[in-house]
Amino acid sequence: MTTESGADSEAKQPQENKETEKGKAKAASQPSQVAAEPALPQNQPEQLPAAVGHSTPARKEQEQQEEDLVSHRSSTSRLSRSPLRGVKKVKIMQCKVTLLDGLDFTLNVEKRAKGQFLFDKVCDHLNLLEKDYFGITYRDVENQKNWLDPAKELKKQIRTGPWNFAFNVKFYPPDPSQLTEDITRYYLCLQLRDDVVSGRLPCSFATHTVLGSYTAQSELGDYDSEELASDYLSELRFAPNQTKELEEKVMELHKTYKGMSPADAEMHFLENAKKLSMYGVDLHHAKLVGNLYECLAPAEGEDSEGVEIMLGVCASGLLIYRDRLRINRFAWPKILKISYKRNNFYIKIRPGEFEQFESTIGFKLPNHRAAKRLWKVCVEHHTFFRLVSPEAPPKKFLTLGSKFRYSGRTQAQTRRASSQIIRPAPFFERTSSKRYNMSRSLDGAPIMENHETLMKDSAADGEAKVIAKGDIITTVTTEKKAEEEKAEEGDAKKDTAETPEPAATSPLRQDTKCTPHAFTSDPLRSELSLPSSPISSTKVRRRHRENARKRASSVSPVKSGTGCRRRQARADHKAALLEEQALLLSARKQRLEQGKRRGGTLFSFSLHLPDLSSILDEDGYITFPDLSEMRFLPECAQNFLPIKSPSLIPCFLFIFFFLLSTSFSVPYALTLSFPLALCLCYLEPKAASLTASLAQSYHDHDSSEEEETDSEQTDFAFDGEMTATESEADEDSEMRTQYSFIRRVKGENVFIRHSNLMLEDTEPPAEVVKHQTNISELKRSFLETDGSVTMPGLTEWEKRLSSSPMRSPRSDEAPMIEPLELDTKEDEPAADETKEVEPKITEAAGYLVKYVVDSMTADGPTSSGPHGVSLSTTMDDDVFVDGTLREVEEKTPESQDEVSERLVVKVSPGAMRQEVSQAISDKKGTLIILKDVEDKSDTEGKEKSAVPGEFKADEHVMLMASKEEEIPRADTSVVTEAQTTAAKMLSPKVEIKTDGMTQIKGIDSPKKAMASWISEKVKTQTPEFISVSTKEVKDMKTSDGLQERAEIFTFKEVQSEQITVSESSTTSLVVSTLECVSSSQKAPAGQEEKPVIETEALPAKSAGPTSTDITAVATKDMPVIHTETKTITYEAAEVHVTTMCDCRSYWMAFYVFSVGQTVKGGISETRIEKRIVITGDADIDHDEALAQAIKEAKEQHPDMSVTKVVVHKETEITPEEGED
Amino acid sequence: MAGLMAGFGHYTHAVVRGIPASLAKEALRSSQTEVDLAKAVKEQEAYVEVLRTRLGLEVVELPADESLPDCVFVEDAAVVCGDTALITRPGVENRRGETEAMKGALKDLNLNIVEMTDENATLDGGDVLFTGREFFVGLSKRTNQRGAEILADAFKDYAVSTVPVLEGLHLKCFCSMGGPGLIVIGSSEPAQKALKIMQQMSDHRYDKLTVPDDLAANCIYMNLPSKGHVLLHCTAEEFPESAKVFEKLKDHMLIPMSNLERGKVDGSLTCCSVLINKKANI
Repeated sequence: MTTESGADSEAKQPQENKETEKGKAKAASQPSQVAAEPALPQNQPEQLPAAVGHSTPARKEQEQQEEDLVSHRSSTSRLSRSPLRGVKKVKIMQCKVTLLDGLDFTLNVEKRAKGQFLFDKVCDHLNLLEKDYFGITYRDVENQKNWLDPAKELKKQIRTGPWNFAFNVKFYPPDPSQLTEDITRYYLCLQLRDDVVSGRLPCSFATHTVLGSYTAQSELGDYDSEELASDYLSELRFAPNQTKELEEKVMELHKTYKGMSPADAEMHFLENAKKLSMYGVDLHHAKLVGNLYECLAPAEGEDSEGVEIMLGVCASGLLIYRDRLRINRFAWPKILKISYKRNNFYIKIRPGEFEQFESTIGFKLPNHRAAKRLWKVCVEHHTFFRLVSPEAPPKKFLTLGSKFRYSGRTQAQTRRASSQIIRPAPFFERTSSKRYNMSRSLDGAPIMENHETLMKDSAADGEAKVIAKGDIITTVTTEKKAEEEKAEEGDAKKDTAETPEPAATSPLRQDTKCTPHAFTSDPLRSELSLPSSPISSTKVRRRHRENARKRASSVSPVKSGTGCRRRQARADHKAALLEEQALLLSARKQRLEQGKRRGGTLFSFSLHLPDLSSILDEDGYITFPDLSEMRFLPECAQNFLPIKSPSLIPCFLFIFFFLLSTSFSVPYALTLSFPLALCLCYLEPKAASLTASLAQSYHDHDSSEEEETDSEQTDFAFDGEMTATESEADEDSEMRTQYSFIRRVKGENVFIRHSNLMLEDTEPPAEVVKHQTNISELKRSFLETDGSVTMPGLTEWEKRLSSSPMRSPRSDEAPMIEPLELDTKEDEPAADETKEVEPKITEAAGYLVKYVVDSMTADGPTSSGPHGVSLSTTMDDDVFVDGTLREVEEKTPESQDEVSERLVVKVSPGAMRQEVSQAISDKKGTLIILKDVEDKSDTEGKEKSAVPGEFKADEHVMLMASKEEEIPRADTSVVTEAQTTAAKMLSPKVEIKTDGMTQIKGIDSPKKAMASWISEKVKTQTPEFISVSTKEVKDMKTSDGLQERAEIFTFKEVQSEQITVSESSTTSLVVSTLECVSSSQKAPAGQEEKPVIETEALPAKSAGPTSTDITAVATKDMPVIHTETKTITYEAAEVHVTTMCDCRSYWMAFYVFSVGQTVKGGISETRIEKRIVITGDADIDHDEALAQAIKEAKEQHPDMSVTKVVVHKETEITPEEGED
Repeated sequence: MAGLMAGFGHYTHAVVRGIPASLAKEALRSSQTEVDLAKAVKEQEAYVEVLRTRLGLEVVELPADESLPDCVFVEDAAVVCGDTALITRPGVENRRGETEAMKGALKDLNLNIVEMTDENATLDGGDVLFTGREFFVGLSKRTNQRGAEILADAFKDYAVSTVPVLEGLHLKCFCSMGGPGLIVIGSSEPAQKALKIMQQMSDHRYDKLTVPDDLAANCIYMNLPSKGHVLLHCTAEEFPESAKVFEKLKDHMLIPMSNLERGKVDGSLTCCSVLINKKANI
């Protein structure tokens, strides 16, 4: 049931309802195996504390038991799947929920229960069906009201203090008359009365009078001079400062209402209350950040900086008050993005009539928690009131920041659902409004519940849901037109979500959940009994042990055949990866710790998190900063990574097991693991220097971040587990959910995408070929613009084109993109990176993707070519890849989620490897250059987005030896091609691929010397793979896996991703890939060479308006149904180009982030973000449009540098494509 | 009482004030022009006459005060909405005396009087646009933030949004209400910009009626039980183009009102009266 359904938190209410029913149904057949899982009051009546009787008389108690029974059963059924859970005693917590009438409702819940469980219980108690307008609040440490997240466990939200809650209206319906049931209106009235009395809803004397009179009528009925004492009203509260005069006026009015029914009185009450300007406005204290005078229209000449304001979130948007004055208002359609970072809350505003570009307005909130709270409220309100269906939590591959999303029904949905309510109007007593002297004893259980009716109703509700799905399109209002398709998607999502998760829930999951960060941080310790961290719990250890066991067992099977045991293998693999990640984290941690305390840690691990689980949906906050700003792990976060120094042995063991689990032969694993372990150990000192450099740029963080980090890690750990254990279907659904329209591009910033906010319509698909043409054109134009640079670049390009052997075969098929990559590879040999890169960059201007690839490649070669790559590292990577590959192959049909997850997982290992490689390089001296580069990159990071660069590199699992850069490149290229190819599905390439494989094999033996080589070849391969049709690709992969090619692995990963993509034709995968790419791109930025190059390039281009490169993403042909969003973010040292383009829904939105200037070290930057949206069908030359837009922007802001262009691409995907 | 906020344009009373002789010479003005006092007085008389006889309002006529040359422009002295009257603190110091008589008159009408005592606050009623659903307060030379805040405090039921008035004297120098949800707006750039701001700030949708002349955008809308929609607007002599625009309003009872002389001292139609709706109940 709700409580236990970690995996399907996303499923939300509908599912829960169903489950409840299911639970009941099962009840008979599934008696309690409760023995193991005790806890529910029913079994242990003595545990049902006095609380029950507390405010509710006997009847209620019965009811409660009944309820508990239900929940118990359902939970039992689930529990039965996870054997381990039984071992633990489930703690029962007593919750006190203050209801709207001021009464307390006490109930007992499992400690692990989720918010939804409690909410449902309360709604049941209240006999409330239209419950989507309501929510449960709790007070945090600062006594601030927070909304209980239904998807999160209670105990995670209430960290301290008693479990006291309040039931409140969360979303005030703008038109209460549209509520279906009187009982709903009654509760809304109760809420509003409280709002009025408490002063939250200010109103005039006259309004107090009117509202009071209706209150009196609804509570007391007709005025009766005989029955009522003259001061009969004095026990009712109408206003914050109630006067006799007010009461008299109320009485006067009350007398005139004779015959008015309570329901009517309430309706009148609401009709008046809803007109109040502060009706349903949720206020938050804040200060203005920056001088945004023009946005806020304050008094003339006033400096708005630091002005105390209030932010009001309401149904229509965001209101900004200064004192009582509304100084601005941003309707939801006007807001492009909502984000928060540390204490700051940002909204990005769609350009108005007088502005050409979007602007971002920042607000400083009292603390981080407040910022997050505000952000969440905004997300929820936006979703509820503006969207047709909720957005799935961001499932992006490289998602940073909170995954929190509103998971309930939207207003549109709830209206549809409630229109299906068929029960007779429930009887309820309107007992008590707030009174001066309320005697609790009087109010027993004011609300009579008919349980049967309830159940029936819930069933009806479920039905309504289904119906709603069908209805959606027709019912949607015009305003929401654009969102219709989304709605569709949402529903589809729901469908998937609702499918029961087949797989056995693994105990692991739960455990991990409980001690997320511990696990993350010190896998080694727990497993290998390293110096134990204070944090790590027994659970964690247990878990790890189990993992280890599993892995060990899996070793042999893995070897034997990919096919068998894939599930297990996969699980193991994942676990292994997780651990590796953990390792990475710890290593990082160490580094940081050794360095300056305040040095930021790369928050990269959050990126690595396989953020598969919607289950988690933790809004794990991430202080993830803007790219430019906060890349570092907050100090506090470091505390969560307790491992001081992984010793060699543990490392070794760990790696060994890991390798084994990943299907390496024992000897192989042995050989590989040792050097790896060495490297790891070596890393520690290394870290120090790194940290030192990083530390400088690191900024403040507040304690709250700690928690966030924590939660993030939790997510991570949990995710890993989930992947391992969850059923495919489940994952699938999640995957679907994954790419929601709300997504965050960078750091913790959450974007409410324009897709939601804007009403761009879908356009007909563009042809890939065409797109390419455009790109090339664009490129040309760019080239033309800059004479000097261009020329060399062009020549280079052409040269390369002609010269590269690899390219030639493919050239026909993937004309533009592939050539570039190949070129790059060829460039590698060339010592002169800078030169090479420059021209490339210029070209890149034309074609962003290519650009990225080029630069990356160029860099990669440089570092890798000269220096032998440590094979061990590489091998490691391979292992990862291998496992993944196999899984992918097998599961291709499966959900994309898995794939993406895997990818994610891999990523983290990659990072680790990177470090390892670094360490190795240091050690051996051979790879010194590498290390240097890394350091430099770090330094760079400080200044710019250094850290990001690094971590991004980390994210990609590549041949670490050859450096981060290479890796990213490979990814990029792959991605790019993948997209293109995916659409085309070129079978011919398969052969090519094979060739590549062979080559690689040959290379393999010479390994170290050839490292660079390999990398090259691998890259070459990658494109090929991409092009290969799905099935073929699969085969190829299989073979690869058998061959155990380390180098190939990386690419295999990519391949697998792509494959998945092609098969399922799921954009989401691509998206992930893209994301990878983007991250990878960033990685290069961090590096020394790149920045330089870029800088050079910039001036050269500067003549032209564009320092920006445009990426055109190839279009994919996907079956329609799901829309997914892809974001590619390109970040160069100075220039970030991210392009977003739509495939299915063919609009392109280019975000040009113009960054004023980044102050080095200080990180203070003025950032203006402009957004250009280009909507159109295939006929529009997006590249040109973008170029034009950028040009204009440049003209407007001459000193602006374009740091980033985001191409947003939306593709629609068939839901069940991946079937095998 | 269900329509607590309904009935926009319903008025029962009007407070006006006579024109002092000092107006011709001493009244504030933005352009140096001669005012024909006699004509101005005539205009005012016609104005009052329309309110009283043609529209049937109960007109409270305050005597002119020679020491207050601008006293005819009563609008600046008080903002009345519902049963609450906010006595303002005009931005020009020597006009603050005007509020005294106004306060007395409004008290006599049994309105709840709220006074603006804050010495940092200034507010001219001419900067206050009440749309029926909310207030817009122009932040102008005469009105500041604090004044707007006090107004917001006085009328808690309504949203009070601020609008910068970059050009012109008052907010209502280029806009006014022409009906429920209908804003009459001048076509100058500042006026249009202000309208945009208002539209953005509002939760409600407004229609707009754009008139070529900013000053012509100041008109008086009433919704009277016996007359329906009534609009007092500029005459064709003053603003021929704008008058044509008004004439397109078919549903309104259109009453052109000359404002030539008063306009020379920055007076407008709305300036010359405070309209009050005294309901039977409450």
